[in-house]
Amino acid sequence: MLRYVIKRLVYAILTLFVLITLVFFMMRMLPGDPFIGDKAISPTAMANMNAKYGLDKPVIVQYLMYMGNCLRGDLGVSITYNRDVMGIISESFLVSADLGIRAIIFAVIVGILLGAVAAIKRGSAWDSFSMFVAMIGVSVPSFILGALLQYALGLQLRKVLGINLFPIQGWGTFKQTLLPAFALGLSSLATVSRLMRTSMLDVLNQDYIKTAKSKGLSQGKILWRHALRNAIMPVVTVMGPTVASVLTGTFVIESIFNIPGLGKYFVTSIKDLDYTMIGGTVVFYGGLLILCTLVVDLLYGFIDPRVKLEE
Amino acid sequence: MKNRLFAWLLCLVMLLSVSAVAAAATNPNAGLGYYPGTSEKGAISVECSTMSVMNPFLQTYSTEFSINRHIWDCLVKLDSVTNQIAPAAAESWTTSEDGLTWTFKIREGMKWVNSKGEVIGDVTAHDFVFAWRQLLNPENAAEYYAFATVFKNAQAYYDYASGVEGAPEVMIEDVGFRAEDDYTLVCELENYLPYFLQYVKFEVMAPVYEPFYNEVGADKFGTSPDTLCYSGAFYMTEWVLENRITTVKNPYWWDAENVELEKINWVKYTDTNAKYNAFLGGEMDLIDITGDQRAMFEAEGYAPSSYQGGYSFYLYCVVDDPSRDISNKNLRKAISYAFDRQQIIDTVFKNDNKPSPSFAFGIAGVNTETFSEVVVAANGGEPLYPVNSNEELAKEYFAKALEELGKTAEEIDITFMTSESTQNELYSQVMQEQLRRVLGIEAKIEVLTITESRARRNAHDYDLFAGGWGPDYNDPMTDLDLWQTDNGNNHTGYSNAEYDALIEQARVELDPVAREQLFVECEKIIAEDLPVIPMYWRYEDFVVSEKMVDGYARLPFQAYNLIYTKLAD
Amino acid sequence: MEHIEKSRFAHVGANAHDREAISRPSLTFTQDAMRRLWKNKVAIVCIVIILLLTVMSIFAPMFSKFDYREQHYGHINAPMGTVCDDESVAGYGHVHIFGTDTLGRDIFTRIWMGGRVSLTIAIVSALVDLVLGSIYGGISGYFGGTLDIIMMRLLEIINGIPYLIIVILLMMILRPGMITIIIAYSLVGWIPMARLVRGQVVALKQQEYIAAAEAMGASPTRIIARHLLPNTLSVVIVRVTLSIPSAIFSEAYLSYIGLGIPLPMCSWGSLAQLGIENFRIYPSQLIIPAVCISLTMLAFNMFGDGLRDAFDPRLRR
Repeated sequence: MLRYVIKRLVYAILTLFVLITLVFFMMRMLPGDPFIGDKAISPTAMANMNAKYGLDKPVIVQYLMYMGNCLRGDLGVSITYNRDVMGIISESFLVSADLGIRAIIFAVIVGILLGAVAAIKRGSAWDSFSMFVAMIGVSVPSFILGALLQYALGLQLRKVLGINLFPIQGWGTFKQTLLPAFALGLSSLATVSRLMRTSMLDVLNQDYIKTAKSKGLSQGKILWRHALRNAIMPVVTVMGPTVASVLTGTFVIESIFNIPGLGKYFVTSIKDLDYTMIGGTVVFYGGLLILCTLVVDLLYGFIDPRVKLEE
Repeated sequence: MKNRLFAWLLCLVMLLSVSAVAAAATNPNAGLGYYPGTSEKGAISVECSTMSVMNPFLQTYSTEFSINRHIWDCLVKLDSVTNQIAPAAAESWTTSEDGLTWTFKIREGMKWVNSKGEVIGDVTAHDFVFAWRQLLNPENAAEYYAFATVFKNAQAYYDYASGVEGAPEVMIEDVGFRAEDDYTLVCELENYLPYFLQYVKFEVMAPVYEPFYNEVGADKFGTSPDTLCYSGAFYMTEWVLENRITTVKNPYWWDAENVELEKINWVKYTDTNAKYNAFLGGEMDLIDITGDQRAMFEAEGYAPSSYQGGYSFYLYCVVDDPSRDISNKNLRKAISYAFDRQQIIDTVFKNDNKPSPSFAFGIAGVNTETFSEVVVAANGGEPLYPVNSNEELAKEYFAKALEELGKTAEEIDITFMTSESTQNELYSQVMQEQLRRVLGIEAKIEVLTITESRARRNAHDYDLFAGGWGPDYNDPMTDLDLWQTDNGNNHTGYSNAEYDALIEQARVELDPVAREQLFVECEKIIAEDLPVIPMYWRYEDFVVSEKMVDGYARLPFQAYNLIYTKLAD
Repeated sequence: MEHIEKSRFAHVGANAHDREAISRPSLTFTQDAMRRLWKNKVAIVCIVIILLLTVMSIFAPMFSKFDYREQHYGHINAPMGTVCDDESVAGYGHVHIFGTDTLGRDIFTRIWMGGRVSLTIAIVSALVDLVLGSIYGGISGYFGGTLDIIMMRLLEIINGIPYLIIVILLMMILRPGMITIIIAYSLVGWIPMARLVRGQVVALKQQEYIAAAEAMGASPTRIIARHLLPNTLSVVIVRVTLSIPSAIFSEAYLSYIGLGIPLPMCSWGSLAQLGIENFRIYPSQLIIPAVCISLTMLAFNMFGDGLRDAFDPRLRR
């Protein structure tokens, strides 16, 4: 077991290394240069700017320096913002993660409830309702959902009720997290509830549930102690990779609700050709992704004894 | 020498005449009761598009300069009503007879405050000297360092310090600005410059408090509210990167008694719908709006406002590449005549944008309100570029072009290059459709990221590229020297000896009227050769909630000036 | 005990004809699944919706009196059902069924033009996903060990490269267009499929029938292609139907950040993107493309559920 973990960790570091290297050279192939503006800049000033960010050296030297700095935990200074990349990422990640965790908690709790109820009352109105919610989550693109929520709940409801229940935009108060967390969580909720329903149906047909029933256990106890616990396993495994992307924020939700999260930097850094920022986001997201996959793979071994971790 | 003084006086006249364009801002909707605005007392929330950098000498965007204007005082400023130069940190100034030496008397008693609003020092002449030295320090690589090169020896010092080969040794002490005493600043200019005060009002020339700068360190300076100190009407208390900046009234500011506003929240949006909803929901007090949103407000009976920053929009054309069809002059003329500029504006922008009568925009004339009027008058009262499509002329030039190129209309290969944004895409599509309808050209559209499109523009690798230009100073030169052969912003490959000569002549011509005539000639040459196809002059629409009653300004060279905003009770 | 007369019985003998007759038709697995699918009403409705959208996308623009790129400046943002009263255009006297957009273009025609783009991207991408993902996942899962670990880490690397970088680089090499978008999507879109197939194969390869095939000397290619992949089919089908909506999403996302298909072509994503700018003022401009996107996703998802039910061996009777 320990050997496997160590082996996987070594691979994880290697993967990250290859990823950074690849992205480093790929971003240098992107057209344009980071200082290109609307108005021309004198060659001397251009040379000074390049020197300031170390872009005047040969690419291979820059690469070696970048890797060296990465090892020391220094992701460099952002060209667009003229401040520490590490600082920007950690500041905005806190926001994204805050929102992401809310969205995940919402998705998991509501999704499991909906899915479980749908399975227990299979074929009833509850079943149809929960699958309908799931379908909306899957089939409405988030940029449309976000805008509709903002309009219907943020604006119209306020007009009707006269109180500000759901602020339209911004970040900082609990109220402001409601709409974006809902919009962000809905698609995960769909996955969770559908998965939960299937796996719950599976579990309810198992012999040990029949055994429990014949022992005379109460319905609640059977569902809680035996069914739910076993049915949740697949949900946990599936949520792993989703967590990495939800935690790092999404461009669309952040721009619709004007949230200062990490998601936008994945897009803007590339558009602005902010090399250090691109590098920083890739290191961060790549690292998180690799970590999440590793954790899920390890969890597999714990959750399902039939899966043997290969030595 | 006398002539120079005369020119300088005339320049003052020119500046005065700009004021006629500027209008005092009063909210046309005040008291209507439609959109009362944000609920926080004494505070307003204002949209501000780019606010990435708050280190004063590293800023580059007009919206960053806008915040700068609220938290620091340069030597002089533009008045929020007249848009003329007015005293700010400098109480008064004198100039030598030759116009090369300027002495500024710094206002006494001004304080530096930190992000908690505590006084940490006095503003002195040394702070300007220090700031300008930072601007010229190659290690800071300030993009707008050129504003400090008006001083004697400044460019030479910059070149030497940047390690330019063969640059003679110049020390920073030799550069033409020094603090005579704590409250006297003396500037020596490299060349005579009629609009020098326009330079020192420029926001990158804001003062920096040296002890504070050294305390936080060059790396950290300007990266958060705590790593800056302030001397303006407001000070910054909060900055969430790419989201919002909060500035609070500075009670120690020299004119604080006239400031009614307690707080400004500067909010950045990336989604036009979101800010529109936020305004309607009373979460914003001032936002920029699209043409369709404007129509919505008007339909409700709520009047939007608009302002012009002097931006002229046009299509760059590559003119020196025979392998491109667009390098054919007659084809460019055909295209220019084929466009229905007013229809483009009505369809895409749906606002007060004007079809360009001339290239230069927002510039004052010598004896007229605008330079453009002179150009139009010289053209027999007709705009140089048609407002509506002139199909006859377009087809005539097109026939000539086809003959010269030896192609049929279907074979003409033209691509509109544009950077991504809904409006840019709509704009390109209308132009594309107009060319198809009038000339039968099947033009293509290429949508690129802004960085890539600029790179392609600089490399002359495009046919038509929509661009715009805003003036740096109030003189036709700021627009017209672009098309000189060696100008760094001439991305078209255009080179015309006659044009170059006219511009050079204008640089030395001291008689303002004769000089203006030279610029008129330049405009005519552009209209004839069409290195760029001028399209429209931009007016930007915005709405203001009824909370802001009066005293705010959005003018050329000052995108926002909210210091003296008066609020509804 | 009663004696039974032998004479009461007669030897009928084997009827060569009847003996070969099968009372119930023999069904292959696929036929059986199809039969069950036919009984699933929801799935059938979904298929009909998908076919309807496809047929409309193919034919509606052909028969429409309006051109998808033609701009009628007199009819900007016209509401649904406006009659075109501009004599200078071909569509004079015809109805703008869904109204016109902000440039005065007929939305009905554009919706079905957009349908061509969106549906093509969706279906082609799904097929690419299917082929690439199955092969990659199959190989990785079957061989296991170090090869598996390396192949899976490769997936992580591809996943870690920002999508936008890939798209921009591709657009430099290739001309922007549908093919570029399909390639851009496929470059990363097959990864979940590969993961899924691998997971299934890892579990399946412990089964006895694989051991039997190995013992009989079947080559790995044959084992993967003939034994492993067919058994992952039910899961794979579900994933394919899920990847269709995600391709439409992905195209919509590219439109959102402005790197979609060449203008004035449109897709459902770009139409919705344009519609959302003014949806408070002209809600139909958003609702129509949004309904198309949602309907397609819904139909493919429900159909996927139907397929899974049909192909699930445990539900086989």
